Amino acid sequence: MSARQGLGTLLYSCALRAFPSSHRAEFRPEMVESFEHALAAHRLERGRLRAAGFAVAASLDAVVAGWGERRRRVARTGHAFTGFGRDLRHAARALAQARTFSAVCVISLGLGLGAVFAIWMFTSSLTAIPQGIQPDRLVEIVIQPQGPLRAAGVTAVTAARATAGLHISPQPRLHGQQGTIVPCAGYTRGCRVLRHPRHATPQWTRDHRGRRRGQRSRCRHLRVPRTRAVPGWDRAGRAGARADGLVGTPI
Amino acid sequence: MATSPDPTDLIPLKHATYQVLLALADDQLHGYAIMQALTRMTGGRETILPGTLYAALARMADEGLVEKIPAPDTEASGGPKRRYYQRTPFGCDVARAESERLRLLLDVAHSQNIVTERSK
Repeated sequence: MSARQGLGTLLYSCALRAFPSSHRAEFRPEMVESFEHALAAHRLERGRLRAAGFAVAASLDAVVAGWGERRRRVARTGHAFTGFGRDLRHAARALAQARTFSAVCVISLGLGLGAVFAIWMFTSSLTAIPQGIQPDRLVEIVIQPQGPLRAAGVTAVTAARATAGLHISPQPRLHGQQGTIVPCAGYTRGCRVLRHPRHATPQWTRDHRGRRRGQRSRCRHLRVPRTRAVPGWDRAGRAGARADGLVGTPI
Repeated sequence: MATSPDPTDLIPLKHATYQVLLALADDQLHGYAIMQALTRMTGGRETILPGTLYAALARMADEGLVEKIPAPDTEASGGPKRRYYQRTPFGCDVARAESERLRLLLDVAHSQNIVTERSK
């Protein structure tokens, strides 16, 4: 066997890898022999250059035919994971034989996954939105005590909360001469108008982006987009006193 | 009771399948002999490469077009043990049906003067 013919045979043998292993086990010796006979015939009759071309063409033909044979066998058996299942069984057997290695792998994976999951849980607990809060409906309400409340020296409201699903943060974000700004959220479905307390005049509301949603108004109703609540107000402004909706604590 | 397969179910045949059925004729040939027979009977204008040939033989054996037979005692290639193949009666029927199909097409080509008598 010459070096060139050996190279052609090597190329053809590599191309035969495209065939399924069962096909190779049955036909490979005959295929290589037929290829070598045909290659030798080409060399004798047409020269070495044509023989090299034949070797390349036969190798490409083997690749195409091999893939076709693979597809045919998959279609005949009805599933494409015969080799994959064999690999899984091999992996299971290998892990069962190397038990120490398998234990180290399982423990390492468990510790790693557990640490990652714990970090994720911790960060989620810090950044998660509390239950009942709807971020797209957050607004700020400015409440300025009026009338008897102001006469009693009440200038701002430090905390307020409401029933019927209206949640107002107990900590005001800003209070001063203009009043107290408290974030509130979680309006009940169907609430569209926020009525100001009897002795506190809502100045404006802000949505969660800081935009004003209502201008200063003396009317008894302050329109808040998509919200409606009917908060009341304790006439004396006592801490913790509950009216028919909103409860506030004067400073 | 199993019904006999209909030859027309496999029509049209793949080119390599038809080539192998014609090359086998009534002989018992191994793979390389099939390649040589095809080249010889077509004057070198038709060839088949080993990859296509053995894939076709495996498929044809599954479909019952050819059957493997043991190598004759006189076989002495010096190489690996060869498998011999011969056409089955069903393979003959399929080759006949495919030939009829091709002849119909050839008649159409004749009627359109696409095929000359010389090339026929």
